[in-house]
Amino acid sequence: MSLFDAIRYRMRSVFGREKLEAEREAEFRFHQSLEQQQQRHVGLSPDEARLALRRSFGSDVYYREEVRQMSLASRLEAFTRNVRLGFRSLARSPEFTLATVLTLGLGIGGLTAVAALVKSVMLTPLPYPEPERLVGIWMTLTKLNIESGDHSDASFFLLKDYSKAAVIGAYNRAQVNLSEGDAPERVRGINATAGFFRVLGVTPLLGRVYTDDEDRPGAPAVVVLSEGLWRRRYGGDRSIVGRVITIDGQPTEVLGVMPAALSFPNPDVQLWIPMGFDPARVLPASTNYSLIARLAPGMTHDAARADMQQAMERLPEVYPDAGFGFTTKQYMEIVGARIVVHPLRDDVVGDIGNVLWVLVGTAGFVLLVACANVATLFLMRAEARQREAAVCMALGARRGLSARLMVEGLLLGAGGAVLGFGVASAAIGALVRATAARIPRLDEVGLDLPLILTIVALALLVGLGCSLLPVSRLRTLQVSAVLRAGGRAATGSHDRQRVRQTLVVAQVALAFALLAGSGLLARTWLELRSVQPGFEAGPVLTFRVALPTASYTGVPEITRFFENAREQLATLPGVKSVGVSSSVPLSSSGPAHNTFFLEDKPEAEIAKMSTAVVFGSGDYFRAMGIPLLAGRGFERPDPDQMANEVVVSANLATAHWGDPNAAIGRRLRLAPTVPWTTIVGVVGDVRMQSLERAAEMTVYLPVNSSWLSMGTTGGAEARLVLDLLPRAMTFTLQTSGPPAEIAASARAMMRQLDPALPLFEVAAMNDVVSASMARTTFTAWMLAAAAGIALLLGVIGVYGVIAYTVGMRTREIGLRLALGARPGLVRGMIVTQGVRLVAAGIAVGLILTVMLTRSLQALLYGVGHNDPATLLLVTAMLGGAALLAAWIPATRAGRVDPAVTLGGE
Amino acid sequence: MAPAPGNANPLQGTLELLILHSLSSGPMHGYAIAQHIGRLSDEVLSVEQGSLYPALERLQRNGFVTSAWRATPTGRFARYYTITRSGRKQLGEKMNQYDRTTLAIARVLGRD
Repeated sequence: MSLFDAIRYRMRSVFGREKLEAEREAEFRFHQSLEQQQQRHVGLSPDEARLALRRSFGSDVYYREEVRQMSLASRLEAFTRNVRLGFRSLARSPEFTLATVLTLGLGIGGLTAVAALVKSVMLTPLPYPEPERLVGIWMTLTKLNIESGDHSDASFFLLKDYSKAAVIGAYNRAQVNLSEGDAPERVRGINATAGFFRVLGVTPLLGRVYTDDEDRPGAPAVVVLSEGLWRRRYGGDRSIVGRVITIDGQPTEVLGVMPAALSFPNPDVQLWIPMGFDPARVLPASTNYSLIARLAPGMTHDAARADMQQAMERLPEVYPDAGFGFTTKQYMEIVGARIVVHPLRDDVVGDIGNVLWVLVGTAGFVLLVACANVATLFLMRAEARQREAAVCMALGARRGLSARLMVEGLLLGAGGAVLGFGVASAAIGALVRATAARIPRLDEVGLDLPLILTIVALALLVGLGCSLLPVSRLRTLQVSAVLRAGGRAATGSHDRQRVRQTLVVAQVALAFALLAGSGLLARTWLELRSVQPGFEAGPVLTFRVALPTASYTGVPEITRFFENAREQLATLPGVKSVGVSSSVPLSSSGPAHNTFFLEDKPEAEIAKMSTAVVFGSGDYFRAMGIPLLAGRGFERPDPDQMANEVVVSANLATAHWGDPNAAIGRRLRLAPTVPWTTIVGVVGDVRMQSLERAAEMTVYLPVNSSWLSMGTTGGAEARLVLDLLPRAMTFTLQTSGPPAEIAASARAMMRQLDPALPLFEVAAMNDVVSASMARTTFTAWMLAAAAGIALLLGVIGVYGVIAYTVGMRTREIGLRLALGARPGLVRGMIVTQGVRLVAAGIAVGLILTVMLTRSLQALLYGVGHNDPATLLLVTAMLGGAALLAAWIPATRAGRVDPAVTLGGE
Repeated sequence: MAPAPGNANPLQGTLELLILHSLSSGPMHGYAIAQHIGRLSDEVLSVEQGSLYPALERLQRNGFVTSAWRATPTGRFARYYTITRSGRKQLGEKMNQYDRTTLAIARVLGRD
């Protein structure tokens, strides 16, 4: 019952406040009147009566206040009153409010956007059931220094049959032509085993996925579409299941549609085709596949790895012949294969981790700088309102004043949160559209509730924290001194100045670190741009086609088509030369790799040699501007013959024969079971994979190379040949004008040759090169933006402190000038103060930078992380800017009129 | 029971004890309570309005006492306070505590 009464009483004090107040008044007056009656009765003299009255009056006020303080309503009322007052006082100083909210908003928004990115890309588990059980199985080739090599179908079968650790799925990337209807389209997809779907565990949106039975060589062609492809190309038609579409010229039945959630390994994947492994034709030495697995419940990564490694040891006994003349035992010794098990997320995320953590650090720094700025602004404002504060303290209302200041801090924090939310949303939107940086899992990035709450909490905390600085100053406020000085504080505010100076030093230091990082990235970018990739990226148009197996069955048909197309394209106006290549440098379709053998070198060294293999034809070298160093290029291929010539890159030639010319006439082959081919030419080195990686050894084969006959061994290798045929080739057209102008006529020409053949990856070579630098460009821009903001804030900070000092020391300056000091001397004095501040900031910044840039190393190219030139440049820049900021108020100091300053009070 | 903020009166707890005890004999209005205490203590303890009403507020907030406006014997309207059941329990506990404390103090002072 008492609880009920207690609650009821408190409710009344919230909701029936006025009535309660009135009642108290009435009760009080009642008590008074009875008192007076009593006093009259007792016979007090009028004086004593008055005294008694006044005494009770005193306690009256106290009582009222006491009572009022106690009620809950009064606390709420006090808070709302403070909020209203806070709004008013903030509105009265709009520059302060605006500056604070803007600074907070930018800092918090930036950090939140980056945090959202890191969270979605790196921390959130993959969107599949029980994602912690999903792993990628990597094959580390210890003897070849390859961390993540591809698997062969032998690994797949072996692990499936002999390892109890997991359900296994294999996949590799594929691109196919969809050609029914009149809009042929090139689409990315995946060849996957039936187990692939079981591993990921996603239920189809429509229909079903294929079974193990349908995943055999020779089974009728079936396909599973992605939701995106289904909606886009087939209009979301629910009758798609069972329909027959044309894939690479073959009629294929659609079995089902997978929801958009299944975007492994990336959202580009539009369809799934059965892998069609043939257990009778297994080749351990032909590696082209990735393996994923769902571990048995409770199985740890280590246990799984050990189990799988054990299974792999049985490879030589189960599949003794590795193909291409190797035995499996030999092959395993050559490569030194080891199984490694990684969480599947690593397969998706790749190496973006470095960039993202750097971004987080950067955003954190910017926020720190912003906080320092806001704290300084608060302090400056507190100085300006000293008089008001002193009055409040004199009246004994210190608690109320502190409360008001803190509420103002909270209000500003709230404003910062709102702006921060907007900034974060915009930033995330921009990041998601910056697909050039190739950040994976971007479709999952967004502002979810935990992040929003974090924004709000952080903003409020910062606002409150910054307001605590002036609140703590209140304690040391010398009330009487302030009131007497009429609002201008005595110079005895040394430690207040010290706080502000510390803040500025911190800002300068942080700005230095950011500028240094930005400088390093900028230099990396410049270095990359000046890298000689080995080809001339003049005006060259590239586009790719892929010939389906159905209409182009073998080498003669393929060769004929490409020769024909090349000749036709060369007749187009504006085209200077046309070449064809299976892989264009720096593009997303990289070259194949293979071991190779040299006729005059002993076999024992072969194990370490792996080369890039590129099919080329026609004027490829001329179109791309790759210099011919010795011998000649390819001759016109005869479609009905196999060619026995190759061209090699300079580094291969010099590595083995010293001089490019010495390589001409030597013989080489790519497998022990194929005929020797003769080296007829040597061309310059080309960086195929990326601008950062040195050019690798490359062998260029003609389209009708004898390698494709694979000697006389049939069986598994014959099947492999079909896979290796250079069906997908890139045309390189050297143009006399801008490449984009030729695109339309090239397309028309190709359509004449084969209407069902889609063109894809149409791009000017310049754009391909830029795209390969996209990630560095992106990171450099981000750091530059952050550094710019930090520099601006730091400079403003220096300006603020110096200007304030000048303001405070106006009298002293006037005195000095009146005593005969030259204005130049006074200016110098002020500037020296600025110099000391900036120097301190730069010193701290240097230490900070040296400690932190080590983490940038992975992103840098051509410049060390402690590059002295960059550090020097940053020092000069920051020092110069900060000194300029100090110079302006110093000039003002020199122009102080002593008569005015000394003549006033 | 939370102490009221800002009140450094060491006799605060005792005042509430006295009020509860006064009310245990029947409902009274504020003035009457003050008179009652004053009279019984021979004016040694005189309760000011400034301490009486805050104490009554506290008692109400904690549910030991309820109040209602009633007519006085002289026809005026006053707020009468009544002790609740939990108030009586609190009274009992406080009285025991008081007894123990005074006994302890007396012992220390060598007065038993």
